[in-house]
Amino acid sequence: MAGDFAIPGGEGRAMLELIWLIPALPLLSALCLGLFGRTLRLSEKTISWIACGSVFLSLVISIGAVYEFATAYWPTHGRPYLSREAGGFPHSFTWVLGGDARLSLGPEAGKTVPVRIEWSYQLDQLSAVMILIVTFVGFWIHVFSIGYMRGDGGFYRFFAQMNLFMFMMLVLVMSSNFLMMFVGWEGVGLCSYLLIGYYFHWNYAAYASKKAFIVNRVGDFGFLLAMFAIFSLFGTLQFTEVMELAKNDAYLPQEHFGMWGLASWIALGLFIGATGKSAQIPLYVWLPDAMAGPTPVSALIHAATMVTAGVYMVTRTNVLFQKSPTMMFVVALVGVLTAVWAASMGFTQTDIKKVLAYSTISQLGYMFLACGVGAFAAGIFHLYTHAFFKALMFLGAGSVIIALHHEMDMRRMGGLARFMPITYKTFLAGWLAICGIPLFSGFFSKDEILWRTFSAGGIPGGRWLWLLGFLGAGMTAFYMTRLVALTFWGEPRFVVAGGGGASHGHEEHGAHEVRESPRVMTIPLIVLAIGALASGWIGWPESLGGTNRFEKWLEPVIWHRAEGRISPMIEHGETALAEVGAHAEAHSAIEYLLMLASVLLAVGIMYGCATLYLRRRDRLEAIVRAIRPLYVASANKYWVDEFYEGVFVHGLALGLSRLSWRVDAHGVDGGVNGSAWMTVFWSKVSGWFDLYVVDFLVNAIGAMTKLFSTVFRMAQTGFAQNYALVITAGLFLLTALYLIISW
Amino acid sequence: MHVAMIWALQEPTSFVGRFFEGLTAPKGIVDFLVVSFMLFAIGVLGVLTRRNILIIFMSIELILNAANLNFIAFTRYWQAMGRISENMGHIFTIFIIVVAAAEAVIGLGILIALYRNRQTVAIDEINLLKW
Repeated sequence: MAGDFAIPGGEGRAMLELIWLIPALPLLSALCLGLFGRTLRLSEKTISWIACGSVFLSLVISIGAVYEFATAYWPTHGRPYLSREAGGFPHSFTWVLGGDARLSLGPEAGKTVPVRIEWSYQLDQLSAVMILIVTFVGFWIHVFSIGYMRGDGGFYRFFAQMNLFMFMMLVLVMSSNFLMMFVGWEGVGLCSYLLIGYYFHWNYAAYASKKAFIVNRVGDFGFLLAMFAIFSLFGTLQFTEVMELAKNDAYLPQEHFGMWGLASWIALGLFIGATGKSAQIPLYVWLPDAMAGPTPVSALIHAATMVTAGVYMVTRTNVLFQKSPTMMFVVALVGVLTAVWAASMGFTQTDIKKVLAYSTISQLGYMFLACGVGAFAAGIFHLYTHAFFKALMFLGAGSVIIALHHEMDMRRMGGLARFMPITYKTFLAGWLAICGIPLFSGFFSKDEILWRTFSAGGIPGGRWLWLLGFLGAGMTAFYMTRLVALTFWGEPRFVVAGGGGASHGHEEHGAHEVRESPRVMTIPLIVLAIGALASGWIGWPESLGGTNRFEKWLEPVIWHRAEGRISPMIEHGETALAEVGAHAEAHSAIEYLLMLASVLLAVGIMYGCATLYLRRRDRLEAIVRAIRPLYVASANKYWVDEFYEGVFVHGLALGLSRLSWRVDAHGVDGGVNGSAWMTVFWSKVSGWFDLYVVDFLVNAIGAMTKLFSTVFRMAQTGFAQNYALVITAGLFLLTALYLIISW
Repeated sequence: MHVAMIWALQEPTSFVGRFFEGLTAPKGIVDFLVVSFMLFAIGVLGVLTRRNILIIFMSIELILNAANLNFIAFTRYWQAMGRISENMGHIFTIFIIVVAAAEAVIGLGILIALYRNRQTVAIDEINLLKW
């Protein structure tokens, strides 16, 4: 492609050397809009062009760079591209330059290493996937936002923050070291906070943004600790170096299942970070509230990109995770439990965006399940397909919400398929994809995960994990069908605000005002619908006659132990992941069976759910009555928020602050007051000493002087002859003395 | 007094005798020393006892001249003894006369200024500098 460019030492690197522009362009745009958007009174059109144009350029460069990487760079070099190869600033520069640090862990403990952290971008198979997802989906969501945010007072602010988010997200996925990743990690958290609280005059939005930020802090604490441990162990934070060293058992001993060692601690810290960012148990509570932000924000940040950062991070550090099968199991368990738990809460939500939020949490759980069973590529594959269909569904929900003038309650929707055909049809693509209908993208990725879970050896209870995942897939089909049924099917139940006479019988009058969204919103929907349909084809599994190019593409990033097994429990690991290819034939029968089962399950549940909601409401209500306690629990999100509020916010945080207040009031203040009292006391003592001892001595000397001088001053008669007489007397005296002595 | 002087000069342990150690009895000088001592004594008594500052000045001149007489006498004596050849004492004497003259000029000047202010030259009336 770029072979014509004569770049010394670079075989077709024209675009690769531009990768620093991928994050830089959105940053530039964010700065322009954020700093000048208000003062220059830029029109919505200008703002849209700048914001979307910068992301589009990033997308173009990403595609070019990934193409060059895949065709020219990787075949000749066989290693990740680091932007420092292109020279110094702005490709790469020394970012943190500290003194010497002493390693405290591992075989080189006690050795001092210089703290020198560079800012450079890394392009390998994993970050290539991520930047393509982020820029592609991000671009279309930006386009959608033009329509969604039309007429909003904070138009420039919205796009400035969206672009800033793009910058941070791209830094996160293109970073070459942990610290730089952490900048992106915190940066996307910041942008998430800003955008959730976009309607900051709305109390709930302000509360939700704070909640998201604070819950994420909990996770970031784990990430930081893991980062410290990694530096203390390896003396570097560079991904390539850390992963290379981590493969060495001398640095990081391979653990067995049930063992809890250094690798487990590091992996635990990283995973805690991931649970915060990716909304897993126990830190998932912020994501449903994050829906307080504008819908495109939910699509971009809380569905397609930011929340997947945890999955990306786990995959990026898969060497560290694979060293600890215990933590792998924890990851898988947390993932699958989250998938089921969140899905069960999605059953009863009435807010369309909350359903999608729980769905996102649930799908992220699947990704972690995949990572936990060692199928990292499958996790990333699901991340990739999920980005399309979930962004699509959020945007579809946004389109509905705009059409209904910011109505989010599904109980006041219904029958929208007639009024919004494009939104409806594209939404159907997302629905079929997430339910796992064959040919749609979700089918490939979810089935891949379930199959890998089922066939994973060496993980205890792998079949149980699979069963939970399988159940979760059925639950997914249920709540998504419920959403579609309540929103698009059946009879309209809405009254458009401002349509006049909202209180009685004006449905028809109001309904006619509901229109399809403008093209600036429908075109992104169509594009993403095509993605939801077709994006999975790249990972067409071998059992269905495909080649699963997606997994092959990610192969270099995923580590396999020299024995060719992920699992160290070789004796039990009959079907270790790396041998799936070899054992494909032996297992294909089971694989087909599982595939069929999940498709049948999905279709059956979709049909049953649609029937319940559309034609047999009476039976639905009977079921709800029968399981009323469960229904109430789910609708109230199992009171987890209340539990956290009571235990952590009021119990722990307030208790701790009360305790520290007590310590402060009685201990610290006592000390301060005591020292004040001591000061007063000692100053009184020293004042007394000064007054009665020092002054007494000084006065005594003065008095003595006075006393003696009253006597001796009499010698000063003023008569010169007296003095002369004394002199003469002295002369005689001295002479006499001399004579006597020298006698 | 004459006898005491001779004794002092001859007695090797006395301070005067130290200068003449190993010399023959200096009979010739004793008369000068006696006169000189008497001048000195008269001068000291005058300084101590007289009220008039002018008289005191004169007494001081007597003291100085007693010293001059000693210088001349001892110079002559040591030249006679052959221990020195220069007229050292003469030179000192002339110096002392000159300095005494200058001192007298300043002293008289002060005296005149004093008289103009206080209409007196009695030293016991000038006693402000006391306790």
